Amino acid sequence: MSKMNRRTFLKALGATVAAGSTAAGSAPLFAQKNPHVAVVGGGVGGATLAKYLKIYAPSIDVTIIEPKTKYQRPYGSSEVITGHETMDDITISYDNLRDRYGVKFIHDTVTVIDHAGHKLHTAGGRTVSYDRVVVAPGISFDYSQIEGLDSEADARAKGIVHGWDAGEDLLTLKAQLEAMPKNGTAIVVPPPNPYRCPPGPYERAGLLAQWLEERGDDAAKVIVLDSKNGFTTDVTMLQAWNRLYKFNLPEQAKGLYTEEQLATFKHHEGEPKVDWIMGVMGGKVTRIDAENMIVETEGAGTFKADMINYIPPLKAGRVALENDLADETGWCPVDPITFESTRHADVHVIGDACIAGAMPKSGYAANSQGKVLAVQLKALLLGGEIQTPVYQNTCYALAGNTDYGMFVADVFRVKDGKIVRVDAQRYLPFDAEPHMFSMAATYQQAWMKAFTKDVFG
Amino acid sequence: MLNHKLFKLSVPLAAALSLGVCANLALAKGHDPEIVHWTPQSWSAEMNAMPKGDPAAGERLHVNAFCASCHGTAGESMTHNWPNLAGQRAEYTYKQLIDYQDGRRHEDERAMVMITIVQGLDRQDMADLAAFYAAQELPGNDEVDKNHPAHSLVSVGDPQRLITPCAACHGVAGNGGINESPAIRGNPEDYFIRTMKAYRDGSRNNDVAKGMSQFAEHLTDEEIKALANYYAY
Amino acid sequence: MRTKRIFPLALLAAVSAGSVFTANASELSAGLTGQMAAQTCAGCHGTQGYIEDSAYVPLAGMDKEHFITAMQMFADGSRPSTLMGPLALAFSDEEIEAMADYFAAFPKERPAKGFISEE
Repeated sequence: MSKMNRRTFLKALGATVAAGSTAAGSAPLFAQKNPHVAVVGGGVGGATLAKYLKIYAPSIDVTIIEPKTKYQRPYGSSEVITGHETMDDITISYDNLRDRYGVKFIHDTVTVIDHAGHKLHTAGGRTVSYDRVVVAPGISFDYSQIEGLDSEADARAKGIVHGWDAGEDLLTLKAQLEAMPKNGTAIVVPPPNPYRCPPGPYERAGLLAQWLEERGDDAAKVIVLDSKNGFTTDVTMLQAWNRLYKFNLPEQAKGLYTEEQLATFKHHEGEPKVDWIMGVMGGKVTRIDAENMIVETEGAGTFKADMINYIPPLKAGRVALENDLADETGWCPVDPITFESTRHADVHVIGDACIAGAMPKSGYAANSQGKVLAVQLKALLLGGEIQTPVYQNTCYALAGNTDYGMFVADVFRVKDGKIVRVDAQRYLPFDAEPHMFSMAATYQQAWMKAFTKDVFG
Repeated sequence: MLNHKLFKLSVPLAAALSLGVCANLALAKGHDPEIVHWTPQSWSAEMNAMPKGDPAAGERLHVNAFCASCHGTAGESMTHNWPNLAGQRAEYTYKQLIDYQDGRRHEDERAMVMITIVQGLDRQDMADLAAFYAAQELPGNDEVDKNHPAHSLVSVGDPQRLITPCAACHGVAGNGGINESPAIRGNPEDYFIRTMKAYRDGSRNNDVAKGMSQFAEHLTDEEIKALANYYAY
Repeated sequence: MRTKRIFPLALLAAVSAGSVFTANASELSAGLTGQMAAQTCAGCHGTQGYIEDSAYVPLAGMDKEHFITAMQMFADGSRPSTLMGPLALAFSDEEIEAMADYFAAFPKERPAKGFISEE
């Protein structure tokens, strides 16, 4: 296999790497002891990186530092709200990573990354040295842009939960859904870009609508109040809602489709079961009055709700924000080939927290980044050349009806120093026939298990 | 009752979808929908009504209905734990397709894909597919290893445990017998083992009048493994 | 003859655009290893292509020609798929061959310890 010299290679791709920090010569080829990689966060990115590093380079010691002793997967977790899955179904053991692959675990919270000293400090008073550290902290939630909710804790105390990082929130939302009065109104507020799981909020809206319909609520309504005018899988999702939930396509969304495609949309009389108030229609939420269950928007008026699922704007996980890894956007800039931070040497950031060009913030993306980084860390720590990367993302989503699935599938490469998307078609074709959506739903269910095994199994 | 014309454009979409949902989702979530098991009489009537299959039409469906994605260009086993379809008896293939469609066969995750994908097939489609696979060559040959540890079970069975010889229904070289008694030669060992264990533990129970499971129930792991090896190619 | 068009030829658009993207794939994938290309498959098809009881095809130990034929047919639309068509189109012929070699090198049976070291 022909490989370019690392320097020429990086130059050719126009990549930006912190000068000197990862130069080929710095690899400790004759290290006295095994190199040590510390991984901050045992989510999809961190777990995948750890597992694959032990497959690709067993002589590298890998330690995951993660407060939780079991993982709860956020992907597919909206199905807990509607009772298709239980908390047990989304809870995953770290045993295989530990026993099968030899990944070490410290269940503790990293507070400080001592960049100069190559050390981590934890809330529990531990100090962990590293040769390289991989920070995969996921997301944190920003309540500064909403009136009426001061913080995550304040929102929770007022009964407004996001449910966007698994956990007890899901059960709160489940209870709220079940307590909804007949033919009530649920409001889902997706976050602005960029955010974790791009089709997720819309899938959740559909799942809620389906659940209410199955309960026998003929006139219940789920309203999506959005600051955006589009989302990943919108073409297929809106088509599905039109078919399933009396959803009428807003005038402002018609640009997503050709004339011929628009002609296949049905116009429904009466109240829709799912409605989408786009950003351009004034759908951005500005204030939530939790006590009176009132949601105010920028330009679409005020809504009274029986259930509010507000998902605030997101940022990189706390440990990244507190250790100077994020820029003014709240996310972490990284090299597109090694995911090394452009702000600090020997620190790599993967998963939702990093800025990965065209890649979405998704489990599959984090998984793909983790594998690529495992290849690169092997070269960086044991010697060898940095490899040309290729990344992939696949997200499955349900329309609401659990027999109607859809997906986005993308391949990414590095071009001119940026991660770019190179596939032509990403969704099921517009004119796909029903069994295709049904197959996508079957694959969605299968994917939850298969993907979990690739990360944790 | 599932609508066999599910994917025809003339069917209103929402109606079509809601039909597909019940069986599929219930199964996906581990619940048995209401399944009507075959009696020898009901299966016999169904089999006798099987339309004449057109292998050429079956081949087109094999490609267009996603079959080839997993079952190769002509029904050969592409992976070590999926079955060989080439040279299979048409009645058996036909029956499996019906059983998937009606939810009678739902032993594992792989079965879920089959259940989903066959929803759009009608009886003629199924007969065509069955005819296509039957027209392919069964892997392996009729040579028999009489010294193989499983040979006694194959040719004599075990009267003590009321196990009739496998050969009684499937042939001594696994060519298959009459009606829906399948060819069992040429499968990967993993597939054979998995199938026998599924019959044994009851997760697969679409056989008519316990035709297979009554024997599988008595087999040990070692015997299943030996049989898999005997009939593998 | 019955001419039931059950399945759409919907990948045609993608196929016609494919040449552009395939060129892109070659240009941006110089020196890409089989290991690197194949990791993209594992999120669905299992680590090293090992997966049991799944809707997805195990790839470990798959015959090289089988793999290549399948990917080529997905890419040109002659074998319909949900998402394999677009994905197959996004990889170059060299990458697909490298993936095929990678998976063909693994034993079909998952080894007792669960995986094979790629040290």
